[in-house]
Amino acid sequence: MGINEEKLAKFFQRSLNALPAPYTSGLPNHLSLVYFVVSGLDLLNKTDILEKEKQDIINWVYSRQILPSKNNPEINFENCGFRGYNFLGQEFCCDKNVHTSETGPLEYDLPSTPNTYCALLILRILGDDFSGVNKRAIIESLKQRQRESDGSFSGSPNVGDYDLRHLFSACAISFLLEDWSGVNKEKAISYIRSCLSYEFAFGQVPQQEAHGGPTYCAIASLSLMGRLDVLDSFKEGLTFWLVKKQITGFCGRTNKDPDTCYAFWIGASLKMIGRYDLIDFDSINGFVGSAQHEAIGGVAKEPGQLPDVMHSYLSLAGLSFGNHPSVQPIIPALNLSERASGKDWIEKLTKK
Amino acid sequence: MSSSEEDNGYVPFSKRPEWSDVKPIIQDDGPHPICPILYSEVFKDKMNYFRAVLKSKEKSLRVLDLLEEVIQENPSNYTIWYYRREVLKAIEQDVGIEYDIQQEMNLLDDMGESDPKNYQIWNHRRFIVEKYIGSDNKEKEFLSGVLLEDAKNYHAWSHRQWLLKTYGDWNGELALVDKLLSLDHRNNSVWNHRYFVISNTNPSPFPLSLIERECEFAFNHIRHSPNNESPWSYLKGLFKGQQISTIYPSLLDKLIEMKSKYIGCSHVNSIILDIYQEQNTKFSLENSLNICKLLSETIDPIHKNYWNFKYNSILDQLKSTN
Repeated sequence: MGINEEKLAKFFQRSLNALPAPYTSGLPNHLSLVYFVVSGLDLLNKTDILEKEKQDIINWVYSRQILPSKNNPEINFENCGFRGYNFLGQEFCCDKNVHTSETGPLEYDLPSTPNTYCALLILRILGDDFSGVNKRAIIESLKQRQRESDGSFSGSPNVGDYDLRHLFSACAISFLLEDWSGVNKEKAISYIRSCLSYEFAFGQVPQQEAHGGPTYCAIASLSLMGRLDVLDSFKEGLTFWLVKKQITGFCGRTNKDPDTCYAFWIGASLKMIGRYDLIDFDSINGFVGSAQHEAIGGVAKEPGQLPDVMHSYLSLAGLSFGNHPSVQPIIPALNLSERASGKDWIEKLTKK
Repeated sequence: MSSSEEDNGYVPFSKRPEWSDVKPIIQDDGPHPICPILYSEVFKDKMNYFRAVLKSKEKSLRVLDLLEEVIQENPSNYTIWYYRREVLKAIEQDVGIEYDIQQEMNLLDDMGESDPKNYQIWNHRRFIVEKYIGSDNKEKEFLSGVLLEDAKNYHAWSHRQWLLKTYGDWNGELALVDKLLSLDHRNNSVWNHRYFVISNTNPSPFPLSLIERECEFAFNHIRHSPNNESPWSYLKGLFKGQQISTIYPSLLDKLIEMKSKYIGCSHVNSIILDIYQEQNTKFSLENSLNICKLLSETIDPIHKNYWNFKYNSILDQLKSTN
């Protein structure tokens, strides 16, 4: 028993038109919700559905871009990038030449690196060439997100949550924009090493419990930097930890219950270190299928719960690693289909 | 937030006399909203007034009240929390306004309990503790309370570990570990915390006396339930950066004895296999091949592919020792 891909595609299509009220809590990361939906349709080869709304989605994404001051392009770099939402009272504006300060409050308009990463992925999936992205401003803003003392990254200015999630987003943005001058790689690598736990997998911050999410972030960042060799000295221990997360589906921490989203976090980690064939894919496939909601069509965190776009997307992306016939192959370090990534990026990430 | 709150006498801001001077601002999501969220009417109302104060940059007690209402609906909204911190800073400097920071802690206590998985609540808490409260036993007490309710809460552990690293009050930590393990000895977060405490209060790599003591601690839990993965993982972790077979060779005998008692326990087999591989002799490698077979075929078939992979890599190792 696996997933019913037609039902899942309909779930994503309905989500494109509206998300029910419980998603209000996800408002600050609205862009990432849109990414799950758009990329989900891409992985299911339903780009025809996206084709109709393509320009509207592109405009919507660009309306979230925070730009430097129009009068002085050297001002406001620290606040550049994409915000996940549009709730500060700005007028809707997707014209790349108009600066947000004319339409809304600048001072509290904060971007976030995960939402910037998701914005770039959506644009790439829809075939936008990034010509409206202010690359220089985003790269400059990354410099200000990295902490001098330990090499970690925060997600937004004035927020102060320095961890591996944001370090990964910064690496992904640098890769997508093909400019690494905003990241001090050596310091970033040293931070990644410091998050390795006694279980030979990574915690979100140094000495925290080993966890599937930050473990993905650590490995993907190294992959994007072309430095997977950093893992060599503990690769066997890391492999053991990852493989042992399989119960039926994967769980995210030792002695936790399986959760469909780890089909991606743990699956992608194994894929990047070339060890995905060590797990039992039929069980993963079966677990994801059993968590698909019969009537709604989306996939839940675990069987018997209500589905949501995040678990629907991540479990679907996870199935691509087992060469599922209905799922497009993806690049694990970017969480983007090979189709959207294109030959150059695939080559960059697979060359030794 | 639902009609129940509306029925429960929610008074829209437009009907509140103290807000009559403020003109609400509606969200503009453009001509073709993508994945629009179907907000409740209450949420829309609060956000319309939030936008208005953000525009006027008002920093007052009534804004703190408004922000509290908005945050309750949208606790992960980092912009709202940031604005709240800006309001707190402004109020602190304004002698005309009195605000007891304890009220802020009360709000955070309530929210931390009702939405313990939220990054921003913990982040704000750290800010308040750092700026206004400092080292304070109450903070540890609060956290112990949260952890007794939800002992795998990643954020609560992170906050506690930040507190320990920042203020260095290590008293009572191992007692907390014991207490939480007595409630659930499979809780890996607690095992990680024990590792956190001993690695911050001992030299690295660990001296043998400490390793012996901690192995005994793990064994006490393993005896209780041999299939509990956490103490096994902890035990292995004690040797991080060192070889078991060189610094604590007699451990192998103990493990072999346990193996005969705990038939079908994959963890004891897997750690014996590690030690055999370390020893790297013809005899030990042949033994480890047998263990791989046992794990793959009988004890741990869900990880069959892994144990077969291990088998083949040990076979290679064996060829090179010959």
